[in-house]
Amino acid sequence: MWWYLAKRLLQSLATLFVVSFLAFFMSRISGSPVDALLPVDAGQEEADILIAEWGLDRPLPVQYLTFLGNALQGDLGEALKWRGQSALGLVLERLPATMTLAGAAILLGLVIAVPLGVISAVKKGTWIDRVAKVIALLGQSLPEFWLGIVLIWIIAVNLGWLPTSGTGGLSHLVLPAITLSTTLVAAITRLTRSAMLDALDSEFIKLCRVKGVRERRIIWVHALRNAVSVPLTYFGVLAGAILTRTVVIETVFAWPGTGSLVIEAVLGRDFAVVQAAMIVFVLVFIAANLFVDILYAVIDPRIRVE
Amino acid sequence: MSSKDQDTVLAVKELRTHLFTKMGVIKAVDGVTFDLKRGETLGIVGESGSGKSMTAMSLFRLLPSGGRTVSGSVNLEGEELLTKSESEMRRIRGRRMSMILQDPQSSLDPVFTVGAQLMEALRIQEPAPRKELRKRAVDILRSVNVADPERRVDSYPHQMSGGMKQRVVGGIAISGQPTVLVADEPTTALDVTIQSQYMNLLNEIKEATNLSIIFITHDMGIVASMCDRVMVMYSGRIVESGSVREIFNNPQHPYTKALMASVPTIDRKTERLFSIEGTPPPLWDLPEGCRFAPRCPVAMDRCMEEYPPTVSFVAPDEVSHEAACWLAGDIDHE
Amino acid sequence: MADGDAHTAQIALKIKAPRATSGWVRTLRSLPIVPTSILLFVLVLPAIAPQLLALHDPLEVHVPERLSPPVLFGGTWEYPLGTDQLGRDIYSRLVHGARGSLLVALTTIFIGGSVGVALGFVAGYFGRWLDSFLMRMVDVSLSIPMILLALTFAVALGPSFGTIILVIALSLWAHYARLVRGEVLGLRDRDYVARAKVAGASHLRIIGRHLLPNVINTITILATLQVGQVIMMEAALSFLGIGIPRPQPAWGRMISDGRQLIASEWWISFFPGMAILLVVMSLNLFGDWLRDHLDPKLRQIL
Repeated sequence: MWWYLAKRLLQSLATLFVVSFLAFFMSRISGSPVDALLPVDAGQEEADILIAEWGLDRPLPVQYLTFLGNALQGDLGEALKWRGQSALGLVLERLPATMTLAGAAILLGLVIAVPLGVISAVKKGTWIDRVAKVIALLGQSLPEFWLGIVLIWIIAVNLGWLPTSGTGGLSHLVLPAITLSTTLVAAITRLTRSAMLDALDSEFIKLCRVKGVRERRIIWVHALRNAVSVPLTYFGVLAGAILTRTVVIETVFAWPGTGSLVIEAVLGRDFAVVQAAMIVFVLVFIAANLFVDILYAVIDPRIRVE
Repeated sequence: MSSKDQDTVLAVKELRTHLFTKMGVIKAVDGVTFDLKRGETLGIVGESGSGKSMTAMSLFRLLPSGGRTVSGSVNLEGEELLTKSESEMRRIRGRRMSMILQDPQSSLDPVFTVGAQLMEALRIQEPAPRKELRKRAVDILRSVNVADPERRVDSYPHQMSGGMKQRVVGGIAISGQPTVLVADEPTTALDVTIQSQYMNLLNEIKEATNLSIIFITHDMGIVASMCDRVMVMYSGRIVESGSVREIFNNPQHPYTKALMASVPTIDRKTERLFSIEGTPPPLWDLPEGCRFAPRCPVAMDRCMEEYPPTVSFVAPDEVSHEAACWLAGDIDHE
Repeated sequence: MADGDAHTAQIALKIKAPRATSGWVRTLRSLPIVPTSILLFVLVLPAIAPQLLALHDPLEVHVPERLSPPVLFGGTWEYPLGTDQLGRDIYSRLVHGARGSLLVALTTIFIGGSVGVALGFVAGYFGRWLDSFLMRMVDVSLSIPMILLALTFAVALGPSFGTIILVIALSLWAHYARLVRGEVLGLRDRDYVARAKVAGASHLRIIGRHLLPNVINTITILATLQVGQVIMMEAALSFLGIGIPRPQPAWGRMISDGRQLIASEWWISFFPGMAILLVVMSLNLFGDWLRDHLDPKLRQIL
């Protein structure tokens, strides 16, 4: 178990290394950052000063190693658009808002999708199953940025039930969280349903019936506990996808998280901030996967002991 | 061996269980009648699809979706089971009538300790404090000869050997001190040692408790070593029944003979008996006459047209021997 | 015994009879009609021949008719789905937008798929350190958030057709590589592969003749299921302004153009979204159908 986690951690470091490499070289393809930093009318002299200051006159591998060394100390450079602020600092400052949104979406997704998947498996072929299938299909096919706009139009503008955008109380969280959770609901419903069908068909469920266990307990304790590891396997990937999608959803709802920061940075051609956001998102993704690995071991004793 | 003067614990009469599927109505169990006496082991033999497992599930009223027992009677110690409600049935399952499933290897829930699963069964039978339940779980594990039961009670199924898992399943089956135990023979876990361990376990249980066992198998060899009486099923019906000695010495139905000739040659996957040509007829499209006729080496024209009645021929000092074949009684070919 | 033979013959006939009508005819007959026709009329036909279906030039500006509503909401048949802020015909823009979506989807899946399949074969067939290295790369690729990668590229290279194709292809290849590698691992040790090896067949021949035909169905299904996902990705990128560049009409961009006006002129954003929804949903249904027909065992994986 510990050995397994250590291995996963090592793999994650490799991922991080590749991402940093990618991020660094992309920043150099985009042309010299000097152009972006200097006012249009700046002369060569000012440019030289900046080049020396940033170490841009050294060979690329050396620059990369410097970048990596700084990154390891938590220094991902200075933001270009927001002068005087560190890129990482900006990203981290906005991260809690994004995590709140993503967390709410995941929670909402699980609360809807797991029971829906279980019920549609138990009532296979009935109207409930068909409704679940339609929900899963819609969730898979809806462009969520559009869904967000339509929800704003109908629920916030026409009905006036919820605020259109921005932050504030819990009410501001509802629409973006619903929008963000659609894909998750679709995926988890499908996965839970098929895993439940497999579990309900297994021998140990028959034994429970022969033992005289109540049907409700068979479904929600025995079958679900066995089935849940399947959606969990995909949960790391799904959480990553959710995190990525916050970029789009935050733009739609003007949610002040990392996602909208990145879009602002892109518009201002602030490469350092985009780079920092990418690395932070990959880190969060890695953390989510490690968390899932641990959870997996808690749920399935076969992994825990080995 | 004599089964005289023993009271009947389970009486099944004209049991019919049909599966309603898209392909039509499948008569999986088509008029099965038998008695089970106290302390007796009754073997039900047949190929897969003969209705033997479906007969067992009908007794427990645990049918797959689309399955329904349409008529007949299942009487357990004077009580009719087919008219009971689901909650009444739940109180009978595991307590008065219990079952060891086909595949004991996978019939334990992998995410709970064996102790938790035993205690769950015990709690259903009679709620008691955790400590008490745990003590009884340990006792049961000891009674089915699981070594070191105090430690094993906290093990997960994957930490146990195949034989030990079987013992746990056996322990769960007898935890409610049932009157009747149905044992579906392991067909997929065909490891020979595991199979013989299974037989030993059943024999131990039987000796310790004097319960009645219905043993479901396709292997005549196992019947000979385990059972007092045997019932041969084909396409949902009983084609021959009688005491093991009588069936083995004096088989009447051609299918029984074919089964006996095919003792060791079993295809692991299909459970098909190689020595009998062909396969059982599709259950949604049964021939009008004898269902075995298309495969029968001695079939006559009459067999194709009319289902043979069940005739009884009781040999001296035997209780019963019945067969459904036009040639029964005067069969004497080859 | 003659009787028995007749019976056997009858059974044989009964078994053969349904098989005669199966095959392509039955497969085509079971095609899901609604999704297939939606795909044809909303995606494929407009992409091939937009000028036949469109009523106006998608870029033509009609200032006097700007923000005119759809025909059922007080508009005219001149602009059946209304016009946007510049008086451009929404319907014609939708028709012309299909080509970009389909083109991006087909190109990226072709490029990402080819690279992924090739690397999957290399990893599965040659194994060892190459396999571990490539699978590591697959994991890395799958853990890089696509949208952030796209944003990075957009800043670095500027938004263009080439950029989105590069970004999307980069996020697709890993799925093919992983799938093909798994299949090849399962096939590599089969008897006929071993026999071909003993017979002295070259690696390329073994891969081409013995392995590829066995995985082609799986690849086809994955590719079909991904068309919808890629259309969605492209729409999201276009929505963020880093997808298909202006002035070429793109569904995602059209949604973002009408975003601020959703409360009053809802049709500008609404119809492109419906187009995406219909197309992606149809592609999902079509992909499911294809999977069930070609390879039902894939149900668990894809």
